Amino acid sequence: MNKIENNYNATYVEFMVSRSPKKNHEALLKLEKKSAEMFRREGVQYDLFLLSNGTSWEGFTNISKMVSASEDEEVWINMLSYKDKKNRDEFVAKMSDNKECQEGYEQFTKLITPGSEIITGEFSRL
Amino acid sequence: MSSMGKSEIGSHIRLYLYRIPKKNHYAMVQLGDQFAQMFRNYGCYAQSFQLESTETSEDFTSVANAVSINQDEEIWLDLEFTTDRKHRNDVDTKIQNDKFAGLLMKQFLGLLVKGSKPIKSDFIHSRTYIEAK
Repeated sequence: MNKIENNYNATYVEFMVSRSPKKNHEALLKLEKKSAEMFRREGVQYDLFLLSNGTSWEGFTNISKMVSASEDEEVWINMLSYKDKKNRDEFVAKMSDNKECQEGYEQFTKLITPGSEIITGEFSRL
Repeated sequence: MSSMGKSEIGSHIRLYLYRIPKKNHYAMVQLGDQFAQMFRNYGCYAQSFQLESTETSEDFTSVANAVSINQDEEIWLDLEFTTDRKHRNDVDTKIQNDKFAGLLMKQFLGLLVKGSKPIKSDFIHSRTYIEAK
């Protein structure tokens, strides 16, 4: 087992793929920091990733096409890592009554491109 | 970023999102184990996940709809974690020169839903941008 593998042992992950205007980059980073701290207190690991380029290999598609991102937008993935599905369901139930979390989500929806889709998926580790 | 804290998972991830026929599930699991071992040898962590639920709340779109999945298919997500961009580039170079990796990739493509195009994208952790300031 290497160092990264040792640090990452979630069995259930939830993704949100979104796009935002480039001008909102800093505001999203600031929000991410706040969210990560809040979720960490609940024992959930939260990571935000930014698409580093819009190209792919021949025969593959870049995710920017799935979300129809334009040149002046950035594509983000929010990843929540849980111990298991039960942990996820308990966390979501708790957060649905959490004012700080609701405000953070509202702020997030204002920072992404208006009218754009947020694509989500819950995945189990194989 | 050269060092990682306890809960940190590397600053670079490569994501693959793809559809496979349900009948190829176990063949893909076995192949995934071989990929994971190969990446482990390169100091990279690779892990496969399967879409668990297609339900979402009303504000969201399920990835199952975004990639137009059929009843007899599964959606898989593979993540490859590397320490940083240099590590990613080093792993890519090694893989390009690794005949076994080429063989695994060929098998991988053969197990996908025919005619489907897998998504492959590279991402950088937001922490990298925050720490760079």
